[in-house]
Amino acid sequence: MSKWKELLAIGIFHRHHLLLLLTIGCAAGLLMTGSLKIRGLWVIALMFEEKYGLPLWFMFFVGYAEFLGALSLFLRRWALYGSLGLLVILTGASSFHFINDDPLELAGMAYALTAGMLVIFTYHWAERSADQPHQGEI
Amino acid sequence: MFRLNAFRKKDLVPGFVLVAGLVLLSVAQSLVYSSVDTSQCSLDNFARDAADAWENYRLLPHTACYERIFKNEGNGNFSRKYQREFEGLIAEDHPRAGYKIGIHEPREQKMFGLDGPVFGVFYGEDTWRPSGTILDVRGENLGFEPDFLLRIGDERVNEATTIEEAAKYIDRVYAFIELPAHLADPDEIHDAFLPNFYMMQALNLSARYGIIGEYIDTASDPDIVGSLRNMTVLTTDHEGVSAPIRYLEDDETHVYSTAILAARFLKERGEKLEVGDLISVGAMGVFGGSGPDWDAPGIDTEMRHVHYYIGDRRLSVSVGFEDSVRGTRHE
Repeated sequence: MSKWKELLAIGIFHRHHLLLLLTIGCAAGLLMTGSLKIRGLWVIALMFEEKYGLPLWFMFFVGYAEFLGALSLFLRRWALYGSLGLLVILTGASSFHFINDDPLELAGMAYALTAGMLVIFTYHWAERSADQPHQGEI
Repeated sequence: MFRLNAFRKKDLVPGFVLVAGLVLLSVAQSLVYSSVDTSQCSLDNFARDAADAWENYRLLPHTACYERIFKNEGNGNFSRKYQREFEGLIAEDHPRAGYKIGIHEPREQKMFGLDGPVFGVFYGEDTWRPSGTILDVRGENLGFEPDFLLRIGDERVNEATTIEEAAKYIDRVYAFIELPAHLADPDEIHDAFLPNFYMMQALNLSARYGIIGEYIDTASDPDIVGSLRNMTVLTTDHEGVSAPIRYLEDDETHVYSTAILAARFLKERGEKLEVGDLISVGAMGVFGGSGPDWDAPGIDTEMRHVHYYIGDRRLSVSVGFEDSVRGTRHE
Protein backbone atom coordinates (compact mmCIF):
# COMPACT_ATOMS: atom_id res chain seq x y z
CA MET A 1 0.00 0.00 0.00
CA SER A 2 2.83 2.41 0.88
CA LYS A 3 4.39 1.66 -2.52
CA TRP A 4 1.21 2.85 -4.21
CA LYS A 5 1.10 5.89 -1.97
CA GLU A 6 4.64 6.67 -3.04
CA LEU A 7 3.78 6.32 -6.72
CA LEU A 8 0.32 7.85 -6.87
CA ALA A 9 -0.85 11.26 -5.70
CA ILE A 10 -3.19 9.67 -3.19
CA GLY A 11 -2.20 11.92 -0.31
CA ILE A 12 -3.07 15.21 -1.98
CA PHE A 13 -6.31 13.77 -3.41
CA HIS A 14 -7.25 12.61 0.08
CA ARG A 15 -6.76 16.13 1.44
CA HIS A 16 -8.33 17.98 -1.49
CA HIS A 17 -11.45 16.35 -2.88
CA LEU A 18 -12.02 19.20 -5.34
CA LEU A 19 -8.61 18.46 -6.84
CA LEU A 20 -9.54 14.79 -7.24
CA LEU A 21 -12.79 15.68 -9.03
CA LEU A 22 -11.08 18.22 -11.28
CA THR A 23 -8.27 15.80 -12.08
CA ILE A 24 -10.66 13.00 -13.03
CA GLY A 25 -12.74 15.35 -15.20
CA CYS A 26 -9.78 16.95 -16.95
CA ALA A 27 -7.97 13.65 -17.40
CA ALA A 28 -11.06 12.09 -19.01
CA GLY A 29 -11.33 14.99 -21.46
CA LEU A 30 -7.61 14.97 -22.23
CA LEU A 31 -7.45 11.21 -22.75
CA MET A 32 -10.28 11.56 -25.28
CA THR A 33 -8.91 14.58 -27.16
CA GLY A 34 -5.37 13.23 -26.99
CA SER A 35 -6.30 9.83 -28.40
CA LEU A 36 -8.20 11.46 -31.28
CA LYS A 37 -5.08 13.41 -32.21
CA ILE A 38 -2.77 10.40 -31.84
CA ARG A 39 -5.08 8.42 -34.13
CA GLY A 40 -4.86 11.25 -36.66
CA LEU A 41 -8.61 11.81 -36.94
CA TRP A 42 -8.96 13.42 -40.35
CA VAL A 43 -11.08 16.36 -39.31
CA ILE A 44 -8.58 17.37 -36.63
CA ALA A 45 -5.70 16.97 -39.07
CA LEU A 46 -7.63 19.12 -41.54
CA MET A 47 -8.10 21.87 -38.96
CA PHE A 48 -4.49 21.83 -37.77
CA GLU A 49 -3.16 22.10 -41.30
CA GLU A 50 -5.79 24.04 -43.24
CA LYS A 51 -7.25 26.33 -40.62
CA TYR A 52 -4.45 27.00 -38.17
CA GLY A 53 -1.50 26.44 -40.54
CA LEU A 54 0.21 24.15 -38.02
CA PRO A 55 2.42 21.22 -39.07
CA LEU A 56 0.99 17.73 -38.80
CA TRP A 57 3.70 16.52 -36.43
CA PHE A 58 2.53 19.13 -33.93
CA MET A 59 -0.94 17.56 -33.87
CA PHE A 60 0.59 14.21 -32.90
CA PHE A 61 2.87 15.90 -30.35
CA VAL A 62 -0.07 17.66 -28.70
CA GLY A 63 -1.97 14.36 -28.73
CA TYR A 64 0.83 12.48 -26.96
CA ALA A 65 1.35 15.36 -24.53
CA GLU A 66 -2.35 15.43 -23.66
CA PHE A 67 -2.55 11.66 -23.25
CA LEU A 68 0.61 11.22 -21.16
CA GLY A 69 -0.01 14.50 -19.34
CA ALA A 70 -3.45 13.27 -18.30
CA LEU A 71 -1.91 10.09 -16.85
CA SER A 72 0.82 12.09 -15.09
CA LEU A 73 -1.81 14.01 -13.10
CA PHE A 74 -2.28 10.88 -10.98
CA LEU A 75 1.45 10.35 -10.32
CA ARG A 76 2.90 11.93 -7.19
CA ARG A 77 6.28 12.80 -8.69
CA TRP A 78 5.06 14.01 -12.07
CA ALA A 79 1.69 15.69 -11.40
CA LEU A 80 3.30 19.12 -10.95
CA TYR A 81 5.26 18.93 -14.21
CA GLY A 82 2.41 17.30 -16.10
CA SER A 83 -0.06 19.97 -15.03
CA LEU A 84 2.44 22.73 -15.95
CA GLY A 85 3.05 21.22 -19.39
CA LEU A 86 -0.67 20.77 -19.97
CA LEU A 87 -1.33 24.31 -18.81
CA VAL A 88 1.12 25.61 -21.43
CA ILE A 89 -0.44 23.48 -24.19
CA LEU A 90 -4.02 24.27 -23.21
CA THR A 91 -3.31 28.00 -22.92
CA GLY A 92 -1.86 27.85 -26.43
CA ALA A 93 -4.92 25.95 -27.69
CA SER A 94 -7.32 28.41 -26.03
CA SER A 95 -5.40 31.33 -27.51
CA PHE A 96 -5.65 29.83 -30.99
CA HIS A 97 -9.38 29.31 -30.57
CA PHE A 98 -9.86 32.82 -29.19
CA ILE A 99 -7.78 34.56 -31.87
CA ASN A 100 -9.67 32.66 -34.57
CA ASP A 101 -13.02 33.52 -33.01
CA ASP A 102 -14.00 29.85 -32.94
CA PRO A 103 -17.54 28.98 -31.84
CA LEU A 104 -17.99 27.80 -28.28
CA GLU A 105 -18.88 24.25 -29.32
CA LEU A 106 -15.41 24.00 -30.85
CA ALA A 107 -13.42 26.01 -28.31
CA GLY A 108 -15.39 25.36 -25.11
CA MET A 109 -13.51 22.18 -24.21
CA ALA A 110 -10.13 23.95 -24.44
CA TYR A 111 -11.38 26.91 -22.36
CA ALA A 112 -12.78 24.62 -19.66
CA LEU A 113 -9.69 22.42 -19.54
CA THR A 114 -7.41 25.47 -19.32
CA ALA A 115 -9.31 26.80 -16.32
CA GLY A 116 -9.35 23.37 -14.69
CA MET A 117 -5.64 22.83 -15.33
CA LEU A 118 -4.76 26.20 -13.79
CA VAL A 119 -6.46 25.11 -10.58
CA ILE A 120 -4.81 21.67 -10.66
CA PHE A 121 -1.36 23.17 -11.24
CA THR A 122 -1.89 25.64 -8.40
CA TYR A 123 -2.80 22.83 -5.99
CA HIS A 124 0.26 20.78 -6.92
CA TRP A 125 2.65 23.73 -6.80
CA ALA A 126 1.39 24.79 -3.40
CA GLU A 127 1.59 21.20 -2.11
CA ARG A 128 5.10 20.65 -3.41
CA SER A 129 6.22 24.06 -2.15
CA ALA A 130 5.07 23.18 1.34
CA ASP A 131 7.42 20.19 1.26
CA GLN A 132 10.46 22.31 0.32
CA PRO A 133 12.90 24.27 2.53
CA HIS A 134 12.30 28.02 2.58
CA GLN A 135 14.10 29.46 -0.42
CA GLY A 136 12.95 30.99 -3.72
CA GLU A 137 9.50 31.86 -2.38
CA ILE A 138 7.27 34.02 -4.58
CA MET B 1 3.34 29.77 -0.50
CA PHE B 2 4.72 29.08 -3.98
CA ARG B 3 8.41 28.24 -4.16
CA LEU B 4 10.53 27.85 -7.28
CA ASN B 5 12.55 25.06 -5.69
CA ALA B 6 9.40 22.95 -5.84
CA PHE B 7 10.66 22.21 -9.35
CA ARG B 8 13.49 19.79 -8.71
CA LYS B 9 16.56 19.83 -10.93
CA LYS B 10 16.79 16.04 -10.86
CA ASP B 11 13.36 15.85 -12.51
CA LEU B 12 14.20 18.24 -15.33
CA VAL B 13 16.47 15.92 -17.32
CA PRO B 14 13.99 13.02 -17.66
CA GLY B 15 11.27 15.60 -18.39
CA PHE B 16 13.17 17.15 -21.27
CA VAL B 17 14.18 13.72 -22.59
CA LEU B 18 10.51 12.72 -22.62
CA VAL B 19 9.49 15.89 -24.49
CA ALA B 20 12.31 15.44 -27.03
CA GLY B 21 11.29 11.81 -27.50
CA LEU B 22 7.68 12.81 -28.10
CA VAL B 23 8.77 15.35 -30.70
CA LEU B 24 10.78 12.70 -32.55
CA LEU B 25 7.93 10.19 -32.31
CA SER B 26 5.46 12.81 -33.60
CA VAL B 27 7.64 13.76 -36.55
CA ALA B 28 8.06 10.10 -37.46
CA GLN B 29 4.34 9.44 -37.16
CA SER B 30 3.47 12.47 -39.30
CA LEU B 31 5.87 11.25 -42.00
CA VAL B 32 4.20 7.84 -42.03
CA TYR B 33 0.70 9.38 -41.88
CA SER B 34 1.26 11.64 -44.84
CA SER B 35 3.50 9.48 -46.98
CA VAL B 36 1.90 9.22 -50.40
CA ASP B 37 3.55 8.27 -53.64
CA THR B 38 2.24 10.92 -56.04
CA SER B 39 3.85 9.17 -58.99
CA GLN B 40 1.08 6.55 -58.82
CA CYS B 41 -1.46 8.87 -60.41
CA SER B 42 -1.68 11.62 -62.97
CA LEU B 43 -4.24 14.40 -63.05
CA ASP B 44 -4.54 13.67 -66.76
CA ASN B 45 -6.56 10.62 -65.69
CA PHE B 46 -8.47 12.22 -62.81
CA ALA B 47 -11.63 13.18 -64.68
CA ARG B 48 -11.92 9.76 -66.36
CA ASP B 49 -11.25 7.90 -63.08
CA ALA B 50 -13.82 10.05 -61.25
CA ALA B 51 -16.43 9.71 -64.01
CA ASP B 52 -15.96 5.91 -64.13
CA ALA B 53 -16.33 5.72 -60.34
CA TRP B 54 -19.48 7.89 -60.45
CA GLU B 55 -20.99 5.95 -63.36
CA ASN B 56 -20.34 2.53 -61.82
CA TYR B 57 -21.11 3.33 -58.15
CA ARG B 58 -17.52 2.61 -57.17
CA LEU B 59 -14.79 4.39 -55.24
CA LEU B 60 -12.17 6.57 -56.85
CA PRO B 61 -8.91 4.67 -57.50
CA HIS B 62 -5.70 6.34 -56.27
CA THR B 63 -7.72 8.48 -53.85
CA ALA B 64 -4.75 9.26 -51.58
CA CYS B 65 -2.55 10.15 -54.54
CA TYR B 66 -5.10 12.52 -56.08
CA GLU B 67 -5.90 13.98 -52.68
CA ARG B 68 -2.26 14.83 -52.08
CA ILE B 69 -1.93 16.55 -55.44
CA PHE B 70 -5.03 18.71 -54.87
CA LYS B 71 -3.89 19.45 -51.34
CA ASN B 72 -0.43 20.50 -52.47
CA GLU B 73 -1.97 22.75 -55.10
CA GLY B 74 -4.43 24.21 -52.55
CA ASN B 75 -6.21 26.32 -55.13
CA GLY B 76 -9.95 26.60 -55.78
CA ASN B 77 -9.57 27.56 -59.45
CA PHE B 78 -7.27 24.60 -60.03
CA SER B 79 -9.86 22.26 -58.48
CA ARG B 80 -12.74 23.78 -60.47
CA LYS B 81 -10.81 23.17 -63.71
CA TYR B 82 -10.75 19.43 -62.98
CA GLN B 83 -14.34 19.55 -61.73
CA ARG B 84 -15.38 20.89 -65.14
CA GLU B 85 -13.51 18.06 -66.87
CA PHE B 86 -15.21 15.50 -64.61
CA GLU B 87 -18.61 17.10 -65.18
CA GLY B 88 -18.02 17.19 -68.94
CA LEU B 89 -17.64 13.42 -69.05
CA ILE B 90 -20.79 12.82 -66.98
CA ALA B 91 -22.75 15.34 -69.03
CA GLU B 92 -22.06 13.34 -72.19
CA ASP B 93 -24.54 10.71 -71.00
CA HIS B 94 -26.68 12.37 -68.33
CA PRO B 95 -28.83 15.49 -68.17
CA ARG B 96 -28.13 18.30 -65.73
CA ALA B 97 -30.56 18.10 -62.82
CA GLY B 98 -29.69 20.98 -60.51
CA TYR B 99 -27.05 22.78 -58.50
CA LYS B 100 -25.66 22.71 -55.01
CA ILE B 101 -23.78 25.13 -52.82
CA GLY B 102 -21.55 23.81 -50.05
CA ILE B 103 -19.94 25.42 -47.00
CA HIS B 104 -21.80 28.69 -47.56
CA GLU B 105 -21.56 29.68 -43.91
CA PRO B 106 -18.54 31.96 -43.35
CA ARG B 107 -17.84 30.33 -39.98
CA GLU B 108 -17.58 26.92 -41.63
CA GLN B 109 -15.34 28.32 -44.36
CA LYS B 110 -13.07 29.75 -41.70
CA MET B 111 -13.08 26.47 -39.83
CA PHE B 112 -11.66 24.67 -42.86
CA GLY B 113 -9.38 27.34 -44.25
CA LEU B 114 -11.57 28.05 -47.29
CA ASP B 115 -11.82 31.47 -48.88
CA GLY B 116 -15.42 31.01 -50.02
CA PRO B 117 -18.24 28.54 -50.66
CA VAL B 118 -17.99 25.57 -53.03
CA PHE B 119 -20.28 24.73 -55.95
CA GLY B 120 -21.50 21.50 -57.51
CA VAL B 121 -23.83 20.35 -60.28
CA PHE B 122 -26.27 17.44 -60.12
CA TYR B 123 -26.46 15.13 -63.13
CA GLY B 124 -28.62 12.09 -63.78
CA GLU B 125 -32.06 10.83 -64.72
CA ASP B 126 -32.91 9.55 -61.24
CA THR B 127 -31.31 12.24 -59.12
CA TRP B 128 -34.48 13.43 -57.39
CA ARG B 129 -36.60 10.93 -55.48
CA PRO B 130 -39.89 11.51 -53.67
CA SER B 131 -40.17 11.53 -49.89
CA GLY B 132 -40.61 8.04 -48.51
CA THR B 133 -38.26 6.47 -51.04
CA ILE B 134 -36.28 3.42 -49.94
CA LEU B 135 -33.06 4.24 -51.76
CA ASP B 136 -30.74 1.51 -53.02
CA VAL B 137 -27.31 2.67 -51.87
CA ARG B 138 -25.61 0.18 -54.24
CA GLY B 139 -22.52 -0.06 -52.05
CA GLU B 140 -21.74 3.63 -52.15
CA ASN B 141 -20.81 5.80 -49.15
CA LEU B 142 -23.70 8.21 -48.89
CA GLY B 143 -23.95 11.22 -46.61
CA PHE B 144 -27.23 12.30 -45.01
CA GLU B 145 -27.70 16.04 -45.10
CA PRO B 146 -30.84 17.82 -43.89
CA ASP B 147 -31.09 20.44 -46.57
CA PHE B 148 -33.43 22.70 -48.50
CA LEU B 149 -34.19 22.87 -52.20
CA LEU B 150 -35.02 26.16 -53.90
CA ARG B 151 -36.86 26.41 -57.21
CA ILE B 152 -36.15 29.38 -59.42
CA GLY B 153 -39.28 31.19 -60.62
CA ASP B 154 -37.75 34.10 -62.54
CA GLU B 155 -34.42 34.59 -64.30
CA ARG B 156 -34.07 38.00 -62.70
CA VAL B 157 -32.65 36.08 -59.74
CA ASN B 158 -29.35 36.25 -61.63
CA GLU B 159 -29.18 39.99 -60.92
CA ALA B 160 -30.23 39.74 -57.25
CA THR B 161 -27.70 40.98 -54.73
CA THR B 162 -29.73 40.71 -51.51
CA ILE B 163 -31.79 37.89 -50.06
CA GLU B 164 -34.90 40.09 -50.23
CA GLU B 165 -34.38 40.54 -53.98
CA ALA B 166 -33.66 36.83 -54.48
CA ALA B 167 -36.83 35.99 -52.55
CA LYS B 168 -38.96 37.62 -55.24
CA TYR B 169 -37.61 35.23 -57.86
CA ILE B 170 -37.67 31.96 -55.92
CA ASP B 171 -41.13 30.48 -56.24
CA ARG B 172 -40.91 27.32 -54.14
CA VAL B 173 -38.92 25.81 -51.27
CA TYR B 174 -38.91 22.06 -50.66
CA ALA B 175 -38.10 20.07 -47.57
CA PHE B 176 -35.08 18.17 -48.82
CA ILE B 177 -32.50 15.59 -47.83
CA GLU B 178 -29.35 15.59 -49.90
CA LEU B 179 -27.57 12.26 -50.17
CA PRO B 180 -24.12 12.97 -51.57
CA ALA B 181 -22.16 9.93 -52.77
CA HIS B 182 -18.59 10.23 -51.55
CA LEU B 183 -16.32 8.86 -54.25
CA ALA B 184 -13.13 9.13 -52.19
CA ASP B 185 -11.95 5.80 -50.79
CA PRO B 186 -11.96 6.22 -46.98
CA ASP B 187 -9.46 3.38 -46.58
CA GLU B 188 -6.90 5.51 -48.39
CA ILE B 189 -7.47 8.72 -46.44
CA HIS B 190 -7.50 7.70 -42.79
CA ASP B 191 -11.19 6.73 -42.71
CA ALA B 192 -12.27 10.22 -43.72
CA PHE B 193 -15.56 10.29 -45.58
CA LEU B 194 -14.45 13.49 -47.26
CA PRO B 195 -11.10 14.31 -48.78
CA ASN B 196 -9.72 17.81 -48.36
CA PHE B 197 -12.03 20.51 -49.64
CA TYR B 198 -10.06 21.21 -52.82
CA MET B 199 -10.49 17.62 -53.89
CA MET B 200 -14.11 17.68 -52.73
CA GLN B 201 -14.60 20.60 -55.14
CA ALA B 202 -12.88 18.67 -57.95
CA LEU B 203 -15.21 15.72 -57.23
CA ASN B 204 -18.21 18.00 -57.82
CA LEU B 205 -19.13 18.00 -54.11
CA SER B 206 -20.20 14.36 -54.38
CA ALA B 207 -23.52 15.42 -55.98
CA ARG B 208 -25.68 12.32 -56.56
CA TYR B 209 -29.18 12.09 -55.01
CA GLY B 210 -31.79 14.20 -53.30
CA ILE B 211 -35.06 13.31 -51.56
CA ILE B 212 -37.76 15.90 -52.20
CA GLY B 213 -40.49 16.37 -49.62
CA GLU B 214 -43.31 18.80 -48.93
CA TYR B 215 -43.04 22.34 -50.19
CA ILE B 216 -44.25 25.91 -49.82
CA ASP B 217 -45.03 28.19 -52.75
CA THR B 218 -43.25 31.29 -51.65
CA ALA B 219 -43.41 33.96 -54.38
CA SER B 220 -46.46 35.65 -52.89
CA ASP B 221 -45.47 35.22 -49.24
CA PRO B 222 -44.21 38.58 -47.91
CA ASP B 223 -42.97 36.99 -44.69
CA ILE B 224 -41.00 34.12 -46.19
CA VAL B 225 -37.54 35.64 -45.68
CA GLY B 226 -38.20 36.18 -41.97
CA SER B 227 -39.99 32.84 -41.59
CA LEU B 228 -37.00 30.99 -43.05
CA ARG B 229 -34.65 33.01 -40.88
CA ASN B 230 -36.48 31.92 -37.74
CA MET B 231 -37.39 28.36 -38.70
CA THR B 232 -36.71 25.34 -36.55
CA VAL B 233 -35.29 22.17 -38.09
CA LEU B 234 -35.43 18.74 -36.47
CA THR B 235 -34.07 15.40 -37.66
CA THR B 236 -35.64 12.22 -36.40
CA ASP B 237 -34.20 8.73 -36.42
CA HIS B 238 -35.93 5.39 -37.11
CA GLU B 239 -37.01 5.16 -33.48
CA GLY B 240 -38.54 8.63 -33.41
CA VAL B 241 -35.74 10.26 -31.44
CA SER B 242 -35.29 13.85 -32.58
CA ALA B 243 -32.25 16.11 -32.66
CA PRO B 244 -32.38 19.83 -33.42
CA ILE B 245 -30.33 21.23 -36.25
CA ARG B 246 -28.65 24.47 -35.38
CA TYR B 247 -29.44 27.09 -37.94
CA LEU B 248 -27.66 30.44 -37.99
CA GLU B 249 -29.96 33.34 -38.52
CA ASP B 250 -27.97 36.08 -40.22
CA ASP B 251 -28.12 37.13 -43.87
CA GLU B 252 -24.87 35.42 -44.82
CA THR B 253 -26.26 32.06 -43.75
CA HIS B 254 -29.85 32.51 -44.95
CA VAL B 255 -30.86 29.72 -47.33
CA TYR B 256 -31.75 32.28 -50.03
CA SER B 257 -28.15 33.52 -50.11
CA THR B 258 -27.28 30.29 -51.92
CA ALA B 259 -29.33 31.39 -54.96
CA ILE B 260 -27.13 34.48 -55.22
CA LEU B 261 -24.01 32.33 -54.86
CA ALA B 262 -25.20 29.81 -57.47
CA ALA B 263 -25.89 32.63 -59.94
CA ARG B 264 -22.38 33.97 -59.28
CA PHE B 265 -20.71 30.59 -59.89
CA LEU B 266 -22.72 30.05 -63.09
CA LYS B 267 -21.82 33.53 -64.33
CA GLU B 268 -18.14 32.55 -64.05
CA ARG B 269 -18.97 29.66 -66.38
CA GLY B 270 -20.79 31.95 -68.79
CA GLU B 271 -24.13 30.44 -67.75
CA LYS B 272 -27.10 31.56 -65.69
CA LEU B 273 -29.94 30.25 -63.57
CA GLU B 274 -33.13 29.51 -65.51
CA VAL B 275 -36.79 29.16 -64.55
CA GLY B 276 -37.35 25.78 -62.91
CA ASP B 277 -33.72 25.28 -61.86
CA LEU B 278 -33.24 23.64 -58.48
CA ILE B 279 -30.60 24.60 -55.93
CA SER B 280 -29.62 22.50 -52.93
CA VAL B 281 -28.62 24.97 -50.24
CA GLY B 282 -26.17 22.70 -48.40
CA ALA B 283 -26.29 20.92 -45.08
CA MET B 284 -28.04 22.81 -42.33
CA GLY B 285 -26.13 23.77 -39.23
CA VAL B 286 -22.54 24.09 -38.27
CA PHE B 287 -20.24 21.22 -39.18
CA GLY B 288 -19.85 18.96 -36.19
CA GLY B 289 -22.35 20.94 -34.16
CA SER B 290 -25.41 18.82 -34.51
CA GLY B 291 -23.80 15.45 -34.67
CA PRO B 292 -25.66 12.57 -36.18
CA ASP B 293 -26.38 13.95 -39.61
CA TRP B 294 -22.71 14.59 -40.23
CA ASP B 295 -21.05 12.02 -38.06
CA ALA B 296 -22.68 8.96 -39.57
CA PRO B 297 -21.93 8.63 -43.26
CA GLY B 298 -24.23 6.88 -45.64
CA ILE B 299 -26.42 4.00 -44.72
CA ASP B 300 -24.99 3.90 -41.21
CA THR B 301 -26.90 7.03 -40.27
CA GLU B 302 -29.90 6.46 -38.07
CA MET B 303 -31.60 9.64 -39.23
CA ARG B 304 -34.59 9.10 -41.49
CA HIS B 305 -36.82 12.17 -41.31
CA VAL B 306 -36.37 15.94 -41.34
CA HIS B 307 -39.06 18.38 -40.17
CA TYR B 308 -38.99 22.12 -40.84
CA TYR B 309 -41.16 24.46 -38.80
CA ILE B 310 -41.50 27.59 -40.95
CA GLY B 311 -43.87 30.21 -39.60
CA ASP B 312 -47.02 28.27 -38.75
CA ARG B 313 -46.33 25.55 -41.30
CA ARG B 314 -44.50 22.27 -41.03
CA LEU B 315 -42.73 20.56 -43.93
CA SER B 316 -41.40 17.02 -43.72
CA VAL B 317 -39.26 14.69 -45.79
CA SER B 318 -38.26 11.08 -45.16
CA VAL B 319 -35.98 8.47 -46.64
CA GLY B 320 -35.07 4.85 -45.97
CA PHE B 321 -32.17 2.81 -47.28
CA GLU B 322 -31.46 -0.59 -48.71
CA ASP B 323 -28.19 -1.76 -50.15
CA SER B 324 -28.26 -4.36 -52.89
CA VAL B 325 -24.48 -4.69 -52.70
CA ARG B 326 -24.03 -4.94 -48.92
CA GLY B 327 -27.36 -6.75 -48.52
CA THR B 328 -28.82 -4.48 -45.86
CA ARG B 329 -32.10 -2.60 -45.45
CA HIS B 330 -32.94 0.30 -43.11
CA GLU B 331 -36.42 1.70 -43.51
